[in-house]
Amino acid sequence: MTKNIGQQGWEGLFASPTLARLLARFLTHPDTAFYQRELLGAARAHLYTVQQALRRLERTGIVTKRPGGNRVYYQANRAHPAFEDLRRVVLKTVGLGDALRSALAPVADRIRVAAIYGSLAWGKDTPKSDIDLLLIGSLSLRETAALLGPVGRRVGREFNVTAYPPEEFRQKARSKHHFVSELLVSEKIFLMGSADVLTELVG
Amino acid sequence: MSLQSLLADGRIRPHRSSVREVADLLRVVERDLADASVTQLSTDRRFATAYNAALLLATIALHASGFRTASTGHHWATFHVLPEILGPDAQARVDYLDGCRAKRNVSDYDRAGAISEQELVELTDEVRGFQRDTLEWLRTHHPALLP
Repeated sequence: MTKNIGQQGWEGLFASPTLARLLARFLTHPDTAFYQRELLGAARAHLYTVQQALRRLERTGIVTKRPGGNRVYYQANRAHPAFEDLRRVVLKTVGLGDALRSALAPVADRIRVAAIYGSLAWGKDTPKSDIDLLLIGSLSLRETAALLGPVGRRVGREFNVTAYPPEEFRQKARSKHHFVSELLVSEKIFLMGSADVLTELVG
Repeated sequence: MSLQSLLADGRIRPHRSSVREVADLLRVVERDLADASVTQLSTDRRFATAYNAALLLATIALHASGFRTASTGHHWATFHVLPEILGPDAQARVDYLDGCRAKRNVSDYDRAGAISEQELVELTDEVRGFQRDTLEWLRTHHPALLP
């Protein structure tokens, strides 16, 4: 089993890459209403293709449409039953996960677990929230800062990294260290490794 | 952002440093490094103290170069102008210290225990290196500011 996503990534799941890109844009900016022309850049497609994809998204109910002035606005629908799950998929892949995974690629062989926790993982983040990232492996904060700095600047968010060598994490988990205990039970979005790897690590 | 654009935005102001000021700041750095090694304190507190020493070393570089920060967000600005003052090699240090700034904000205001012992050791080592480099830089570029 690989801990990375296949070559085609998220877009490969969809019949149309435009649809995938639009969905990713809506779900990573759930509180923003977009008008058609604004979405052309994100979709990297012609207007007609974008209109088709928007109709499809609107019919599923994951995106809602409303008029405003002389424009029509489209926005993610937080009330949709699949909203949170789809958003997690997006964050794990195109939204952030792909960017993080490729940034960490040079040190991937030294990472056992990389997971987002905190407000982003619970779905309670705001556009200004830090991205809380747990890293377990043999790597220093200085290394990760150099690798993640450019991603943070690109997404306009700050990373709050907590890096543990596997032994320190295990020892803190066993001694019921409050932060580590809380990490173990809290919501996480795994980017590398998995809940099983974490359980195995704690032993 | 460059020193010139920060100056134009009013985020930094011209400043004249002195032997006394540099000596005072260097003593605070020493004190913080000593406090950060007190093992009876929490890892979080020791990390925040070592971070403060790093901020003061960056402050010395900024002051010696004829500027001081003027308003909010001054930690960010103090670190971000370092490569312009100390040279492009300082960028990796700035990225790292900026990451520590984010960690220290979370640890001071939101959440206890989120700093690993490894991270504390790493920061303390970094600050000692930064202290040596700052003294060397002062000797080379601003010898008149040294006692």
